[in-house]
Amino acid sequence: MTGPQRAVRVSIVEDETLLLGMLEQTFRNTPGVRVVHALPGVTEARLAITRGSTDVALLDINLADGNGIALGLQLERIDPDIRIVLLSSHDMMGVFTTVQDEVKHAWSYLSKRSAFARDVLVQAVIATSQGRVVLDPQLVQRSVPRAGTDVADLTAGQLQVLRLVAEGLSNQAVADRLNISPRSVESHLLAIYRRLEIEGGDANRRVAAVLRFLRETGRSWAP
Amino acid sequence: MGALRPAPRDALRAAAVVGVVNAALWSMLVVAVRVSWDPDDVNTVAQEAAIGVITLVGGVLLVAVCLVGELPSRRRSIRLIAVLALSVVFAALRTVVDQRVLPLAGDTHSELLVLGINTLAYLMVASPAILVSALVARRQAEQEAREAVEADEAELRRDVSEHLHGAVQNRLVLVGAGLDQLAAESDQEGRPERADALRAWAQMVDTVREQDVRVISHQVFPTGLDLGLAQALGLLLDRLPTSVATSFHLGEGVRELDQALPIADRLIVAAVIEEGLTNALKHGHATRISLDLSVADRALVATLDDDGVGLPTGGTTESGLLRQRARLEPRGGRIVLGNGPAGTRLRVELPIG
Repeated sequence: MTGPQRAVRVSIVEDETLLLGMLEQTFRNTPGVRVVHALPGVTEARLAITRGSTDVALLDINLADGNGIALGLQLERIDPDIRIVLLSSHDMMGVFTTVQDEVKHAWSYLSKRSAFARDVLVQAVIATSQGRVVLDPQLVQRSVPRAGTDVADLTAGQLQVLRLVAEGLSNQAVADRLNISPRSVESHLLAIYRRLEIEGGDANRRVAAVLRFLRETGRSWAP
Repeated sequence: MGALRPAPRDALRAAAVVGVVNAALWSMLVVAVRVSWDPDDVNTVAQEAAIGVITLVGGVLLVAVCLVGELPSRRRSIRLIAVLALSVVFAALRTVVDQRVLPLAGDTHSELLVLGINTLAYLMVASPAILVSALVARRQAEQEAREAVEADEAELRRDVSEHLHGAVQNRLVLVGAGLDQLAAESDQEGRPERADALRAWAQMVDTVREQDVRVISHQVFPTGLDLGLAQALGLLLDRLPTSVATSFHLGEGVRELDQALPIADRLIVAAVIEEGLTNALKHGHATRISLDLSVADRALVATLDDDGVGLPTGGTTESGLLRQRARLEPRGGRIVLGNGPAGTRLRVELPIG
């Protein structure tokens, strides 16, 4: 989508003023990312975000005058190339499984808490612009495979790799994190695709595997 | 909001049965009173029977006029006038037939008297149906008032939940992040104990946000319900312990219907399913749960199956579901709790207007 030279253009829609300012600030000091719009709600977003103006839209799910999911679907209709990152103050990642059936390109999900960590936020936006699905790292780490699913049958090593892929890491980054070679990461992935019976091109399989992870894991509420 | 909704079918049916039975009994009474059991008068039995049939037909038609179609309050007076007019018409018909069978002294005075008596007779036949339709209309009005209150409550719940998920959670996120920041700075300043203390406070703020606020908000308004009933039910399943296998199936056309479903209706169905899930785990000890949300016969149907121990043979006191039943039944919905393919099956039906 975006060439390596051009900065990723981000539009932020967030109704909490302090938070909007903080997000804008984070990106301002980041090379490789440029904020084109910082908007407080759905009404402003629909007017300002025109086709071709934005690579990645960072949308709060709970907006004062609407919800981020509906807005994301509308933006996709206006600009089929746009990528969406949903932002939420509490765990709504489970909502994705029904949403992902309706979207053009799989959406990423980040909790506001994690968005405060600059590298997590920036990595999420850049990875999403490159076509990867990014799920909130803390939620991913707390996700446990559900009984009776294919993901529950993955080996511990495969699950570890799948978790990091779900966090949006590239194969190289996964390899660095786990102290293994990128080749090992690739063979793990191939095994995962076989186990989960996922077919297709590389990018599609990766996204499909992440969505399966999302669908087949849960985070039960702490007592 | 001005005109009443059409009465539910079973209420109309009840009113119709009352009206027709009354008309039939009345017709039989008319025949019984008039028939002379003298064997020489065999002819008249057939004629009396004919009068009985006319009475019955007239009565049933009057009942139909009372009940067919909607019962808008403004038009009730028109309907009553129609009943009165029809009564006179049938009474006149009866009077004419009576004259053939039982000629009275041919003066207008007694003919008018007979006409008047017959009219009253038909009005008596119609009156139970009129009464029942008035009762039905009253019941509808009460139900609409109740639903208006429920709709208000649903809006309030949604507003409270939005406030909690919006302003309150956002501020707690900022506080937690601020404390983390101070902790990082304390680390840099070489004050590790202070850093740890600050991180502990940040942790507590996170707990308040992720547990307390979230639990309260969910109690008031199920998470994700404003996005749709399907989303909220999916999130309910997600929350279950991961040792429980789950599956969720959405039937065709449910998504569109979901978006148009009033919040109060979503609340009821979600409440029943949540109750069902709690029971499946607590009493049924289920390890597999499957939920299906479909449309059937213009009704939304949610079916919850589990592989638990099933219902006790003596029946259950499903007290938790009783209240939900009371809210569903006036809307024409119902809850069916029984044995399913593997354990228990809970089925919720809600007609869609």
